[in-house]
Amino acid sequence: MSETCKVAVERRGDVALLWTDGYINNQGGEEIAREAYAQIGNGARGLVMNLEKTKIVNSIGISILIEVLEKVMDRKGVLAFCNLTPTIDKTFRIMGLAQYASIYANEEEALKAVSVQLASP
Amino acid sequence: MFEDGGREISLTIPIAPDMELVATAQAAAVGEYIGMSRDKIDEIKLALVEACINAFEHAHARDDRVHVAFRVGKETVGGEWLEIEVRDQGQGFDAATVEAPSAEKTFGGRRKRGWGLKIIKSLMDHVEIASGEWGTRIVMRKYK
Amino acid sequence: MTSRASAAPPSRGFWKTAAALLHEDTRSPLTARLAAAATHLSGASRCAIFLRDKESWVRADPGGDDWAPRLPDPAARAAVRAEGALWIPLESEGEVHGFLGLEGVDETEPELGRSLGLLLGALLGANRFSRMVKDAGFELKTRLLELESLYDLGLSLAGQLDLPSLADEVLFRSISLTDARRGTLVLFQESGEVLLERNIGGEILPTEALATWRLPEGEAVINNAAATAPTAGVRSATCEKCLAIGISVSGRRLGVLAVADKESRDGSVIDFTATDARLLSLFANQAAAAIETARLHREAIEKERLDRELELAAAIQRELLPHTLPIVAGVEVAAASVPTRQVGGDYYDFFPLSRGRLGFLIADVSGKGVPAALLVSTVHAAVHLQIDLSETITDLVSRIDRHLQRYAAARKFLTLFFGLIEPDTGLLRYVSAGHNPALLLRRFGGIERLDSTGVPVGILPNAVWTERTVAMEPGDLVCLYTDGVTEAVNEREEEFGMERLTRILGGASAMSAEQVCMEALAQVAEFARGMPQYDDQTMLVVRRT
Repeated sequence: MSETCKVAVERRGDVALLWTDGYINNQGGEEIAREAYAQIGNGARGLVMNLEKTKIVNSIGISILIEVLEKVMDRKGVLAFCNLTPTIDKTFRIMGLAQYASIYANEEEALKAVSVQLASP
Repeated sequence: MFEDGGREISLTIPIAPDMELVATAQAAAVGEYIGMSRDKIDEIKLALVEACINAFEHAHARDDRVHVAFRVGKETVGGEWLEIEVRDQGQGFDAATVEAPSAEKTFGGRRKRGWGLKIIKSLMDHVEIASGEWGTRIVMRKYK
Repeated sequence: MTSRASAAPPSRGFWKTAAALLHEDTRSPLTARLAAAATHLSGASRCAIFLRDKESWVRADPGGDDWAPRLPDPAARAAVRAEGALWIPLESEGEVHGFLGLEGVDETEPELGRSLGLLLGALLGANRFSRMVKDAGFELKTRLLELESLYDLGLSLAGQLDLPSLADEVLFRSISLTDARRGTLVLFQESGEVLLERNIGGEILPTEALATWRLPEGEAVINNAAATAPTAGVRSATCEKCLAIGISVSGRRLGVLAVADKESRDGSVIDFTATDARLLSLFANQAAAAIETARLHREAIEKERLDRELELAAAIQRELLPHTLPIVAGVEVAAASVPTRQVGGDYYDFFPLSRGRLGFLIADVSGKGVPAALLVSTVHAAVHLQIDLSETITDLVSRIDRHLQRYAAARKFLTLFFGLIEPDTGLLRYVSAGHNPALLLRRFGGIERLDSTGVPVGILPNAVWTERTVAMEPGDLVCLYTDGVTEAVNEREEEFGMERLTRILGGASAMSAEQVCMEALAQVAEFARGMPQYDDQTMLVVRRT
């Protein structure tokens, strides 16, 4: 039953793309944070998280994502989410993630928007 | 032949990682059974996850269990509903004094917990919480 | 041998010239300088120098095109004439390092020949000696480095229980110690399947090839022509030079470690040496022990996790059983379930209905672990959701079947017995979906079997079940049970069986339902006498009072 959320990563220049697969609980959140911090440490300024294969999250996992967001903001970077289920979208908004991170319908839009934001001063 | 109404589906889960997923699987089955939409079922699942991990956190001893009961019913006005009760026998909390979390306080602050109840209240149509030394009971209902 | 005392020593000019010639161009190889000096000093028309190369003598001076003599007598310790030339052994410290052949030399100056022999011999000897010292120094340094590295490696491997990190460490160290550019480490499971694979600098060989690589145990195999020639049956097209060793522990092959393309200081690819092979072998031994430890650790954790999951699942299933027995006029009920440690799967429930009727159900779910727990909870949900909508018992069982087909995660099935008793008439209606034959004990003796009336639930789409009816007189009792009861085994591997159960019930007409249940289960326990059982033992007894 306990399957940690798996995270795949790809770096494209300044931007790191993360794809999650599975339940984002505290373990999953930490797995995502680990990959995200590695990318940030490696110079990534933009992060796009694609949650298409995640159907369920909990508030602890989300609070870890908030921590990641804070770190990104500290370094004047940009974080975007895409492919959220309507419920996860709603839950993110409840917890305030949408205030500082942007949510997009698909990966293409998210990437485009992040690149634009990074380019502008 | 059987004509007796309102039966309860009960489930008791041990307190262990990911046990809340056993409850959400049950919730999904019941929701689908009454023909609830996919999105509403997802909302019920997320609310139930929060209720369960909330209960897990109050646990006294390792042996503690969390009781989940599912009920379906119908109202003349509201229509069909699915109700879930999550009960634990842990140390409880004073529902009135739980500080409602806010995004401002969360960002940059240390307060990253306390979101469970807020999420439950946002995702379900009707929520009742009772808590004390005897434990905690959350009853949440969603209309189809 | 001519006595030295009677010959005139070479003039001082000889030595001066010799020194000048030999030091003239120190950048050119020693043998070239020796040849030039010998020719000049002896006045020979042509010369040849032969040096020992392992077991044979080879021409060592560069200018060999116009004159290619064979060395006449390698065993000669004095100058000889052969093939139109004078052959002088070049010795020092009692050892012959080479031979000098001079063509067109006058025999009238034997001292010259001997002097040349001594001079060249001494120089060759000195040169060899200095090389030996350098090699030894290098050897020493290498040995030190080896020891340090092995010590370091030992430290870093010790306690490294995370297999992927350990593999990375082993590979990285192997590469740096052999100055290789690339490396591959593949570890296998006991079944032979790949457990994990690590590459640095790209794959040296496809994994499947590595799996069948017939490397000799404990020996590293060097192939410095890997691109063209096969090594132990496998050819590598992706590297030029390769060094590989099988990693084993207690005779079991754990994996293969290979490094490729050793680099010299100037960046070119050079041969792997015997030293490299020895180093790698030593590493492989240390690595093997560490790898096996990490692997066993990982297995232990996995087993723990699985055990825990089974326990949790069993706990969930057991909690689904009713906590209290219903009180219904005209019937007496009893039920008990003896759990095994991990496998759950038995389920029973009661349904008090209108008009004083009582429904009861027993089910046996296949499988174990969390999926089985989910199935039991699904069955529980299905029955509770569907019972009020069902017209007949067969309708209910069909609905449960359909519910399961839609909501159950995996292809699992269960056997089930649903009975409905009307206490005032004594009529018992039932459907048995592949379940063990229920036993109806008559008040005044006699036992009837209530056999299956259809296939198990979840096996066939659109299955159909038959409902049967039997009349129960006051005092009659029906006993339902699961496999765990009749299939309980004792130390002689005998099964408890239907006969024993029937006999127990036969003597039970005066007992209460509760007593019957307890007695039966107690007898099973005694029969099994502490042998571990692999199935829950569940019993449900309903008596018409």
